[in-house]
Amino acid sequence: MNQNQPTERKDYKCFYPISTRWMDNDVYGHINNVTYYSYFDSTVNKYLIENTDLDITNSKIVGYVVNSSCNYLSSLSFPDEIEAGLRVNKIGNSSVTYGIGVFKKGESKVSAYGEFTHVFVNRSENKSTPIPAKIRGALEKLLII
Amino acid sequence: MKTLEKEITVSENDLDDLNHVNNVIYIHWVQEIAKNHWKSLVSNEIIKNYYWVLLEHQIKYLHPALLDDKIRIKTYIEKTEGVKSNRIVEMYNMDTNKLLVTSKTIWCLINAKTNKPNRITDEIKQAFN
Repeated sequence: MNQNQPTERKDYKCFYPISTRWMDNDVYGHINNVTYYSYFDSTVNKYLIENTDLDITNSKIVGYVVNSSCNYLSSLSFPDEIEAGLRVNKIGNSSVTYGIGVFKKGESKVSAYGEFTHVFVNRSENKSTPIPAKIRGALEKLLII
Repeated sequence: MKTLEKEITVSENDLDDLNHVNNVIYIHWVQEIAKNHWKSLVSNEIIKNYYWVLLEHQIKYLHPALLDDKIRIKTYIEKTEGVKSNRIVEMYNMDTNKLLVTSKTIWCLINAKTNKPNRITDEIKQAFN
């Protein structure tokens, strides 16, 4: 496996617990592929809400998801306890690419990992805008150098 | 390659706080059309004997879709090799014909009896072509 792939717990800067639900399982008894993306969304937005003044409903500046990806290495199932690791892979002027790793609680290797990119946009003009200083500061804390 | 197309209309349940179709909803649509395409191409016996596991997924969101937009979703198999197949899904706004989303997924064929990877059979390859 490529050493640059973020598959270890040490590759991530902070972690959030995630509760699985019965409905997350597919017909094979595994967490459905789509559900991992909702874990990604929840993890990133939780960090932004807790560490910045971003108000997703009312803020003048919002983050649009422009791409995402996920690599699935091993399956998870309800009622596994899960932890999502978060890092920032890259920060540009108006965009940020997050890396997220999904771990079974207590495991050192990821079950799945992926990334997604937010472009920050001025909602009224619908145009990209520089990342506000407070958000940039919070994102830089997660940046992998 | 044989394609499958489906038309859908965006409903309120598909929207996020920004009143755009939520990115997770697009991925759900990708999965649904992949499943329907597979089931439309092969026999019940093949469906019973094999299933697909997703290895990798990449999706690009080029333009947002909004409430009541009519979306055309198109899928086809780009390539098969060994145990893997690459599936493309594209979503278009039906009024403007603008490409909204592109998705590439890499799937592994699994033998349902052994739960181990299985080389893609000629019969399945022919069904895709």
